[in-house]
Amino acid sequence: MIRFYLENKKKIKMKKLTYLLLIPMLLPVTAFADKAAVDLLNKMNQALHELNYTGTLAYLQGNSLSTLHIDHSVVNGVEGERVVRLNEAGSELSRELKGFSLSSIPRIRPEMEKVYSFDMGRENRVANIPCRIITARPKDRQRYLQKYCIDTVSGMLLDYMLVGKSHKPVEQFMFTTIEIRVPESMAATNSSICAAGDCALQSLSANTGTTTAILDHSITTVDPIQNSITKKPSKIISKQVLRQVSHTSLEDGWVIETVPLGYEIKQAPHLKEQNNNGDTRHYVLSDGLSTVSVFVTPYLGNTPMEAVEINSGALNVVTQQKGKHRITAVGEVPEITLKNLVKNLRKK
Amino acid sequence: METNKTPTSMPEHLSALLDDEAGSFEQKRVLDELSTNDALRDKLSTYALIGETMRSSDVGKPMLNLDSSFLAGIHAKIEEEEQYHDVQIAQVAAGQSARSQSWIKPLGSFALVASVAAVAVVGLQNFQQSRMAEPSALVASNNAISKTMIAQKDQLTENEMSSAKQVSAADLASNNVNTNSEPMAATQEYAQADTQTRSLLKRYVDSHMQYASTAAFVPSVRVIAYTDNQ
Repeated sequence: MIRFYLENKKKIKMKKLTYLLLIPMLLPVTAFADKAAVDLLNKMNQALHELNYTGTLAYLQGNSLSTLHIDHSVVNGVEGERVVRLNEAGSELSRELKGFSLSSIPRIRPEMEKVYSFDMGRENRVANIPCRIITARPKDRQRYLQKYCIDTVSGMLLDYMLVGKSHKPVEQFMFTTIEIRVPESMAATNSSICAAGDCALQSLSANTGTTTAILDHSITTVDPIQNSITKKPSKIISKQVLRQVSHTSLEDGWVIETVPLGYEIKQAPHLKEQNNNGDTRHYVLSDGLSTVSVFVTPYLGNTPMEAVEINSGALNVVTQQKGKHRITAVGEVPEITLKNLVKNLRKK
Repeated sequence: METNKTPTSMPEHLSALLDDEAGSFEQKRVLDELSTNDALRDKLSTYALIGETMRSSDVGKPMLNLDSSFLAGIHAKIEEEEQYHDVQIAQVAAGQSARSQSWIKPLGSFALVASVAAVAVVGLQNFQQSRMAEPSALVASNNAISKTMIAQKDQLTENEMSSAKQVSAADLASNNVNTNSEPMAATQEYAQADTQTRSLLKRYVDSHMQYASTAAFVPSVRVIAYTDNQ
């Protein structure tokens, strides 16, 4: 038996060679799955802005479950959204995104594969609609794992989950009922996209070619909230003026010395403070799927400001004083990412 | 040794077969036996498993993940991989350059031992001298040291009082290189937000959600949840 335990280098070399030969055979399969997953995510991003949909959504945040009514529509090119919480405070939020265009829709870019791996999962069913599971798996701890279940016919997102480093969901959004209406203009766009060869998803869908104005598998939602909503006055949020900044150098001598891998400054909207402390600088960083905002506000208080951190599901907020400024980082990323960003922000 | 013995029993023949040391006659005999003998087949699986386990680099974990797919196994391995960052890579590079100059090591060790011995001798002499010195001189010396320490402490306290958070930021600056560790979690204390801060942060959350790259309805849901939670 001693002979049995002796290592046979030749055999191990042969085994390694076998694995090396197997890997290239698996690559085309995984590459195809990745391509299909990315295509479906891009289709989802577009559909979420272009489709008209109404439904009830279950929202799980830690151990807290709530239900919300979502109403989204595009009228004359203006995207409008109304979200009402059906339990507890019954809060309501309305958003109107003026200047909506196809170019503003986020797309999965090749460089995002440096920080995420996109996998096509099994077929599932949400709100009685078949959907395909897509996983965006982070390659480091600077972002959450994101799991989608997308209706392959309309591209509508039916289930969305963010998973933390302990492999537990930190947040989940799942439609329980939904009615999806595809505008005629979008049906035409989908046809042209398919004609251009972007139809890897066609084979995945059981109902390919369904581009009718109202999808067959949609379920008409009962709307029980019309008489009970608007406990609080709704709020209209619109986009603000953007400034131009470089990749890491901000304004007024502020520099982010180490930006987490994959994140880039995408926008620098202008935000006027109400308390006359001076202008707040807002910088938006994104890796394509996760977004972080950094706010730099002059701090004129006499007493040193205490550092504060807040968690709400996947959303984290970290704020602390740096010299004569308050630095606040907000994002749907792990709190360590925000803390590192705040730490690496300095005034030259 | 046992390894030089000719296999006599069927398990030994089997072992020789697995080690690629069985002759053609033995191979045929074992294979014939395997086709009819269930117990021997079980032995074959056990031996193969033992072999895989021994060749595995992870102690206590079999190299083959028999319960899941090959890809799942690869993903599990990736999950287990330690994350390497610039600083760690720099450290590794530094380590490699040190290894490449391996002849320095013995010399360095010798120098270190010599230094420690020299410091010990000098220290012992000073200790003996100080014991023989006047007690008043020792007190004066201690007072001088204490005064210097108090003066330094006063200066530090004044600086800290004037800009407590700047000191904190400077401390953080010195730790800047280690981007993936959690020094802030250990050193920075976080307080409960007061009403004014909560109101300000709520405004920032609203502003952030306008630019969030996640799915359309998700930011709105988060704003509502955040507002209600606060």
